[in-house]
Amino acid sequence: MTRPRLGLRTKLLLVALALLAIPWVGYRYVRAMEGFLRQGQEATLMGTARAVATVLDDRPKLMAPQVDLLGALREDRDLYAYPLHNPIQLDGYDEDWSEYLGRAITYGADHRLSGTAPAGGPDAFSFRNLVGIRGNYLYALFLVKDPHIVYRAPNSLRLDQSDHLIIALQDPQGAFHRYLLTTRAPGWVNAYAVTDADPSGADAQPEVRIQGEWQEAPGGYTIELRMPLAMVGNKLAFAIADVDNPVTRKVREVIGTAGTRRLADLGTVMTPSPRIQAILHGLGRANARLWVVNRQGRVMALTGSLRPPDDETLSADTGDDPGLLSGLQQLIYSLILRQPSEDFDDTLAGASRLQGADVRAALAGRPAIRWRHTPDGRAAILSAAYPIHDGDAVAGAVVAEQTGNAILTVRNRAMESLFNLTLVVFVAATLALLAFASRLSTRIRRLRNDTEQAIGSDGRVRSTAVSGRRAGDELGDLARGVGGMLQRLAEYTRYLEGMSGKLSHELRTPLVVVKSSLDNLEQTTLPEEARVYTTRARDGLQRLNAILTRLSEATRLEQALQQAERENFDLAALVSGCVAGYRDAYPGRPLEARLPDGAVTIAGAPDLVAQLLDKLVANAMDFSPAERPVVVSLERGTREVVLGVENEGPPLPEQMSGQLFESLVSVRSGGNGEPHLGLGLYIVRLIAQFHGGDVAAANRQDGNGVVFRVRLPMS
Amino acid sequence: MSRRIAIVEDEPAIRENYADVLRRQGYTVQGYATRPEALAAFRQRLPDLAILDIGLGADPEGGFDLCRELRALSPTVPIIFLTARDHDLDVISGLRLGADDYLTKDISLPLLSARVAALFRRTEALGSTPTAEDLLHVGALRLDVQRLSVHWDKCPVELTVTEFWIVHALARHPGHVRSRDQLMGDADTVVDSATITSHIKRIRRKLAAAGADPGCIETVYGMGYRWTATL
Repeated sequence: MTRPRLGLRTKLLLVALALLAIPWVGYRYVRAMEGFLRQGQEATLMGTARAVATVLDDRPKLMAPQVDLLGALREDRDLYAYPLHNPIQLDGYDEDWSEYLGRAITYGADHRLSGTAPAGGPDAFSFRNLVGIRGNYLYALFLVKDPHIVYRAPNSLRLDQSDHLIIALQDPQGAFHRYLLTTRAPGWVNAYAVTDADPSGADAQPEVRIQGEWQEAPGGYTIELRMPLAMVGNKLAFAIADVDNPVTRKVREVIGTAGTRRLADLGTVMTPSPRIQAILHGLGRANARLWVVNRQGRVMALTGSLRPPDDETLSADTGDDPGLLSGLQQLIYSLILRQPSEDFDDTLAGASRLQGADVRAALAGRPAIRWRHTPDGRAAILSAAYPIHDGDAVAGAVVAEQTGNAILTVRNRAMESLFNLTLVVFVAATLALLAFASRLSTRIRRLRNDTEQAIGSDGRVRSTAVSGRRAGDELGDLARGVGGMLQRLAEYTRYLEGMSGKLSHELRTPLVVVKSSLDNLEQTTLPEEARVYTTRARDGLQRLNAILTRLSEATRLEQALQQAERENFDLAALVSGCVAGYRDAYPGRPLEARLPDGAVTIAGAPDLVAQLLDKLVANAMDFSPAERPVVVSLERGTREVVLGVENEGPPLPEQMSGQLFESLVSVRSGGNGEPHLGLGLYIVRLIAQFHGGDVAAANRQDGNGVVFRVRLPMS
Repeated sequence: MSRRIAIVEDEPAIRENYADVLRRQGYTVQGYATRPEALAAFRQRLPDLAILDIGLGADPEGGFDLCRELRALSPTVPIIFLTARDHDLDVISGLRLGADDYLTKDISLPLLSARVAALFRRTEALGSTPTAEDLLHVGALRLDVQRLSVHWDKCPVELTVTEFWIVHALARHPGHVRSRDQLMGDADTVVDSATITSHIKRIRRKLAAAGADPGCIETVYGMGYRWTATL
């Protein structure tokens, strides 16, 4: 099973991931802060709403006049006059009304007061109506869809035999008035007051205060008119009568906002109260909008705007051209964080009626708070509604609105600084950890390398110097521990290595005692049977002596190596000379030499190389069958020369091949009288190493013999 | 009057064994165990020959010091180092201090007696005229077997007894290879072949100092050494 290897650095970096908790905690904190800010804003806004409501409390005259206490409010029947911001030019076109066109109410078959459906289907005839107030005038716009426009006949006095507009109203004094408005051709028009006695208007007097423009439009016509506010009381109704047949000139159908015949049939008209408006104006706050609504939710006054004044917007937008880095940063933030936007779609602006849950709650007597998103999702708007009391009854409500942009800005700023700070901390901590981990792993790696290299392949301590011993931390302790361990190991190895030499030296003195005693003994007259024992003693002595000599041989060689002088000599000549010598030394044993032509010059001690060859050949002769040849070869490479000694015989035991060249290791199985301490190949290795080469033993390819190869660098 | 030999050796058994053998040869033998004891006796009266061990009890280099002091007392008295220490360094130090020979304790007692006799013979022969049979001329090399002296072009070459017999064995049969074992036999010494190598090195150096070509003793790898016939 292989486990993925994780380095210290990786592990520490994984641990560093715990730092990710910092931005999370920060995020939670910012969210909590945002919650507090929202609560604060809610409380403030509610305070504003309550303050305004308190001002309006118990002022029935202010709230009452327009309040229709009977029946439910109907958007289509009960008209709302929008306060118009722009001047209206009476030109028969709807451009001036573009801001309010979306709020125009469409009247069709459902609002039919009399007559029958047109030939082109129930939708063929309809109109859209808007009412507004500007200055002292009430303005009205009618966009009539009528495929057949029939104008007043040029010679006719009657007002009701062509397409015409009916205006029915109650004046401030409570009197009921009815007006008809028609024209002989597109252009400037005036209304005529009609009475029940003269419904056709043949004798009607022109009412010049109601004036306007009639223009044809694609698929119908447009009427734009105005009348002084002084004419209009609380009740108002408009109706369009359609005449399709220019010959019979019968009114086919009448569609109206409400019945126009009787005072009771009229709908109401709601105009914002200038007095409340004046009161609100004084209470207005920047970036907040205040509404006052009546019991039906009709807007009675409005002040302020959700958008900040233009100059503030500008100052927010202007700024120095951001650098690439901060530009990139802002881009990232804008992707992550919702940016407060002043460019949101505020559908409520200019609404005639408020119907939110908060307003309903306030009209029921309970203050309420509501957060809502604009339809385009760009901004959150907070509204606080507070009821206006009239005695025990609720007369209306004050609604204060504000965007959540301020909070969003603060939140985003906090998020940004949190993000920046976290990024800095994260990067700094990561770098610090990385540096620390690198330093740590470098130190450990160095210690490991030193430890690995401290003991050579031969098991000897090469160096006891371990880096990092001066460090005061645990790694320093470890390095010191390893250093001390190596030191003790080196001492022990040295002791073991010196052991054989010391032993042989110490044994020599008693040996000399025995030997000299034997010498003396032999010089005295001894009985013949005693001679046998002295001879045996002498044999034993000789063997002991040989053992001691061999024991000290390696030690002596090591000392000889320290003093040996190097010279350049011809290795080929040396080998060929040695081989000639071996032929004399091992008579009857076949010996084969494969030598290159020419000289092979190496730098070293020829005596030692000869000694090396002696050992290898002696070893080969011991293992080789008597009739099989021992092959001594010399191969010249580009930089080194390989001296090989090959013999047939038993292969090397697998487990021994690595230790073969160690001291006191022997693979010989049986004793043949000659002591073997396993020092021969050790000496070979020492000499090879002295010459900068190495020695290796391998079984022959056919498995039926052994090859020793000594590689020596050429000079 | 018999010749007086001093043996300085801290091991009593060895000392007595050596002394017995030499007494049997007719020499008067005095044994000393420590350096101060021996030095005091030498100051009283110089021996005709001194056999010194290097390690003397607690004094591992005592023999070397004693050799230096004895050589200061007398420049001519023959000194033999007889020691268990056979390292090249010890041999070189011993000979540099003016010892005439350096033997290891492996040497058999009869051989020791022969060395002692040879040294006395050299001392005696210093005054007499050499006879022709004792002289060996090989090129510029002249060996006097009686005096154990060597000259190269009339320039004396100071060789130890061991070295002398090695040169003698090689020069007697120029061109013939003598193996290390043969040389050991010729020099009446039992050492390992590496010691022979260092002996040969020293001989070459000494001969070279006297003006000879160091190649006059040629190494025949795997076999031994020979005196180069052409010289």
